[in-house]
Amino acid sequence: MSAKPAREVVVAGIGLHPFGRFPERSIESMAGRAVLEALKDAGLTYPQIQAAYFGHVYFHGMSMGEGILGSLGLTGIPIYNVENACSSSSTAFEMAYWAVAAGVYDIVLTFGAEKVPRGPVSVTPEASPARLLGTDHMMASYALRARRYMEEFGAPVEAFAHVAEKAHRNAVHNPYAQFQKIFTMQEILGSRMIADPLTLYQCCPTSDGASAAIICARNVASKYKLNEKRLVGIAGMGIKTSAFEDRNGEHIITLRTAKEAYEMAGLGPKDIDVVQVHDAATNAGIFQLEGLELVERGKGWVAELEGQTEINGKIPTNTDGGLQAMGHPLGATGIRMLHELVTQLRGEAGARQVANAKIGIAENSGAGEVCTVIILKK
Amino acid sequence: MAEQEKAKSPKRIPVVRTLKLSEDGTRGVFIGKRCRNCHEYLMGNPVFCLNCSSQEFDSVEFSTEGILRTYTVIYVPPPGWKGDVPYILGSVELPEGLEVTTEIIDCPKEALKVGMKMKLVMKVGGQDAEGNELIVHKWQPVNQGVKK
Repeated sequence: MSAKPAREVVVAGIGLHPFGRFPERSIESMAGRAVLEALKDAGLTYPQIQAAYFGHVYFHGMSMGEGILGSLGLTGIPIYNVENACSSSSTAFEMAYWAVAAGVYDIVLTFGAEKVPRGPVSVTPEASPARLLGTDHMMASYALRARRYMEEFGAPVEAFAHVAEKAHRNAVHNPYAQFQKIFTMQEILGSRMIADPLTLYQCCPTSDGASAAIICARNVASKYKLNEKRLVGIAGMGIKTSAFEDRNGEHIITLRTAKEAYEMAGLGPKDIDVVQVHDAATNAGIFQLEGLELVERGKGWVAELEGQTEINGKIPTNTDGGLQAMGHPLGATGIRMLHELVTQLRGEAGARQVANAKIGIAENSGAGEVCTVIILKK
Repeated sequence: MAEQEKAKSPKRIPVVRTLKLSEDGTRGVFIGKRCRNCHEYLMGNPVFCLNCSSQEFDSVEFSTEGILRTYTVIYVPPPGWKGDVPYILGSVELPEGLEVTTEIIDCPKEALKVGMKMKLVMKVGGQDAEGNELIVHKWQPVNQGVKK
């Protein structure tokens, strides 16, 4: 059931506030910086923006998008605040896309920002019975999937740890990453156990950060004097939530979402040059490659250990460090993935550049469950 | 007077509404529905079948034994956890096709094995403001106790 856009839409500008811990900075100032960077990247000014879609999870008062953008100018544009767990900003991006594709707006800002409280992330409110059961534990649900996968396909824990090791090696070349240093396999496997088999350095950090992207209809690019060479096309997308068939912990949701995105783009897994997946826990960095059908089910761990997911491998994955090394400011993560894809497809990724990258795919998971898949094409 | 007596003996209240306790509160069973249209089993009291949206159901009590499909040992518990650390979480598949994830007790982590049989047991997980006991469900290996 893939949809057909009425006109072509492109990414015109991208911006990030570094991910990490910034106790002295407000969410407004972080988001503002990412938005200003995206405007500058596109060569636009804020009054040219016709609508804004803001993804976030934690509540810091009502109408946060209005609060953030109010300091850039009171232009009276519609501002949509979107919450969809860790998929919030990719969801905002998809909504913005369809509004432009349908001709409602020509140029739209879409952004995400978050300051995540320290400690484990919980889905339910404090008084929920799940707290007494001990089951509301994000990393526990990843660990349960990890064990199931190890049992079914014989994957060793080293394959999961390698996802983090690779991510950190990539992030050494990324000034926006929360961690910009090498972690050895020994350090990763030897770090404190969180939820067996996942050690601390196989669980992404939670973070502060912000991301922004400006999208527009391709047919208005010249009117706004955009640099055509740096525009990146939005080729396909999908968004799905849990279905009855997903109820026993398998990751069928990504398969369903990716199928829709591939169909819309008229592309398949073989066409993909660069990949972003939601590696909140290392094992997800492998499962999601299988969900995107970039590797056969049960073979993702082999591909990981063989080096296929390296920057110079067959399926370069999480080239900016992914959630493991970039960090995870929930509502900012989805657009952060697209930021990296755009950087790669423009050929501006420097030391972490994938050679001849023309088509990229980003998969962003959220509790709920939610899955978004977005395909960009140069 | 009757009210006073009631106040003295704390009630045992299951923390999840899908659990039905025996009169004395020591045994529990998951209650739910079976869809008359697609025959899928659903926990609790759904208005619509989650699979086919039918509203025609038969009431069922679920099996209290199942097969361990996956597990994890938690060393860093979530906020609000009042039990031991580390503790084990396990997903057990019931014959009706659903999995239930909760703590596994009375099982050393070395003895954990995917495929082992588990049974449902009730434990006191905490108290509410009125002093009632909040009952939580746990998995326990079926052969537990045989060794003792």
